[in-house]
Amino acid sequence: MGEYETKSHWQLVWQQFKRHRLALLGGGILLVLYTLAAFAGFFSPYDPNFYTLSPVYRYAPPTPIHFRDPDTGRLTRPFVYGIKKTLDLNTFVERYTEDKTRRYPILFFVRTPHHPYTIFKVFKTDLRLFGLGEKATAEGARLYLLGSDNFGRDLWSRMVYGGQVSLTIGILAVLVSLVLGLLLGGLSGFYQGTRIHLALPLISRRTWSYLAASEHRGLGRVFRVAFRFVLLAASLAFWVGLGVGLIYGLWVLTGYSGLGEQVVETLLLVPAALWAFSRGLFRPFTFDPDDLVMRLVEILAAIPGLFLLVTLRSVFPSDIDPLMTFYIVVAILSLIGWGGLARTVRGMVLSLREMDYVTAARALGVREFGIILRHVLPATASYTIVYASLAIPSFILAESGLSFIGFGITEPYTSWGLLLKAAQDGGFASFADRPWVLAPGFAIFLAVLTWNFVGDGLRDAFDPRRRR
Amino acid sequence: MSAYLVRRLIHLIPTFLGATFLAFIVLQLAPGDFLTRWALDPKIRPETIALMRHNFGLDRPVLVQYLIWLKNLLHGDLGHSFMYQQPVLEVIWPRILNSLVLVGFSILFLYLIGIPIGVYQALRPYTPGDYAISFLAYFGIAIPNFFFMLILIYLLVQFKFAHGWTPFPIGGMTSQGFEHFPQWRQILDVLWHAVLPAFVVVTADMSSLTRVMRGLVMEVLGQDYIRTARAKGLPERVVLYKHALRNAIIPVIATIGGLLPTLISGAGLVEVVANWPGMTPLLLDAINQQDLYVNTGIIALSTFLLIVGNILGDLLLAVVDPRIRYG
Repeated sequence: MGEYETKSHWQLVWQQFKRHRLALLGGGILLVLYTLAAFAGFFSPYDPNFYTLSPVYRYAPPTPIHFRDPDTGRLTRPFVYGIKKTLDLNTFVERYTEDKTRRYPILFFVRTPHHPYTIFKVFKTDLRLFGLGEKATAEGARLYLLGSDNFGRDLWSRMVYGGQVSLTIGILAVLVSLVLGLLLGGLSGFYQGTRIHLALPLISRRTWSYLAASEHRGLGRVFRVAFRFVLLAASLAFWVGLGVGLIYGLWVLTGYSGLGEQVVETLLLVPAALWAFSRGLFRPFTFDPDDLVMRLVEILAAIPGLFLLVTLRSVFPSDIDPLMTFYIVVAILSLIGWGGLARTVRGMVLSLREMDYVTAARALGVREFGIILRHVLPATASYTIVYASLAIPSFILAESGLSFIGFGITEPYTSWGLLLKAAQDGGFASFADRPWVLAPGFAIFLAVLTWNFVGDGLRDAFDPRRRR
Repeated sequence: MSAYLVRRLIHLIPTFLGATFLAFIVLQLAPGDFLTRWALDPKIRPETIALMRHNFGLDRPVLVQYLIWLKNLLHGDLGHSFMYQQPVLEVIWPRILNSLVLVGFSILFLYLIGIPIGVYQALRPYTPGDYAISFLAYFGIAIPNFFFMLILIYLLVQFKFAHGWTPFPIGGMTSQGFEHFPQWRQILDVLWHAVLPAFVVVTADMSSLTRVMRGLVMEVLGQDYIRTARAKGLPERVVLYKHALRNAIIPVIATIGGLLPTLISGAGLVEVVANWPGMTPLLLDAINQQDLYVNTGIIALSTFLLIVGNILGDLLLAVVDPRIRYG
């Protein structure tokens, strides 16, 4: 007797996902990256903005870590030497060498009372996984795992903190673009074909019978009729506004034109205004919500992505609040990203709304918004999840590019793209002396790579044709 | 077909108007204008700036500026650059050519190498070679272009320190003394400079192209008509090139139209890192300087080409695939 086990959709998906080795590997690495970012203070020996003016360690190389005692040659706990700074009098470049007279052991679970940090802006603490301790720091010793930047700030600490921005910005932007894409795509597909009235025709028997008719009596009827006359007034205002607007446009335009052009413009615009005006008297002006949303998507898609990003970013002055900048970057990224999702979701909803279960829900009297939220959009879930997991890495890439050219995140916040910007400062020859400034690029690479692994794993897991 | 074409072209107008109007509004929303930083200069009198603002038309309402810009566009006039004191087209045109060299070069690379690699993978799926290429493709997708270019430049600089010469130039588009070269050498020089940036541009696109090509060929190879072709004893070469590839390549051809705007809009941040005087650095400069008409000109041109490119892609599809008919 064979027993049959039934599995739900999500169980099947999870089972398939688990078989995708790269996806699991990616998921694991992502977990590590996000843990590092979430507990950035704990994993970084210094505050990301900590630097001293004396001594100042500009572009110090990574501090060598020693494991052998120089006297006995035996293994010992890891330690570093103090830093000796000399100025190369030919090139005026600082050179950093080890000061062998001073030895500082690397301490684990060290407390830095003068440099506390917060976890999630809530828990205040000063416990760090590793460091040299505040006494050694005061004596000028540094533990630069990945070297330092142009102020002498620890690059590793800045990278860990930069991960907070770089890694969350992708997720936030995807969340916002999911909301926009699902909502607008869903509405656009569901209401495709319905006509929304912008203005009622003024000379039409139907308009007047609609305005006068009411099933209400007494005061209710008065309100009803009053409301409809407001509608009528709005329609009237719409048409008059349109006509006046056209005439005004003509008037302004001709003010800047030569005589010949004025004739052409008049011949073009006056009939247009008259036509619009008279058409409004006899026929209603309607639009299809689907048309509106899809034209908007097309317009946004028609401008090359990088140009649109940069142009939108330039609206905001570069000296506004850094936290605000972060939100602006999120908003811009998601504004660019929602279109593709909306278009696909619209296509899916167009066929979903004809399904029997939607008709059944309608017959049971479920409100239309309820149908969209409860019955139509969930059917797009698998596509949406795959979209999200593959959109996150592209947003991470976009953010890094924006910050790299100085149109993204601003100091004192930092992101991996902004950190890479330092590689560009001072020309090609100078950054060849300090290759460690390239490190944040590998972090971007790793995050994007692993998100792609996870996304591909999810896509395969949701695709019944690829079941193994 | 022609009716379809006319319909598409008419459809193009509102999208183009919408996109350029959006760009115009957004550009004007930015605080200040081109003359704002001049106002900080104590040597320039406020009256002079007011006069210049009037001459540039920057004191008019935004809608009016847009309408006038549109009117001039119909005359083929994209406006005047404030920064370069030249017509916008004259500013943009050399940059377009520069970007064209770089992107054209990389697209050539892309198709010449990408399609054979994808086919190779599809013919030997799940072999070490296939896995190796797929893994490399992940790298191509994940590495930011500008970062890849930075790494290459770093390696070049190190090479130069070690050996005193470099196999490829470090950034830029021309060598010293370029003006005095004979023409054939000028062309070679520019191409030589374009090799590395073009290679970087190709990596990301190559990854997706090989992946798509692999999937398409594998799908076609599983079709019944391939089995039929093999069953009737056709040589494998004919099966592959005449039956499989011809069908598999159709969706790839559909994407060719989409390449048109990238030819103009350039190679993005790679141009910035590699010091390539293309469109992206021009746009970034123009945005920073608030050179309104250069910005709008670039966006209008690339938007126009994007829309036309999509139409061309659809038409191309109808040409290569007889099953597709546009009524």
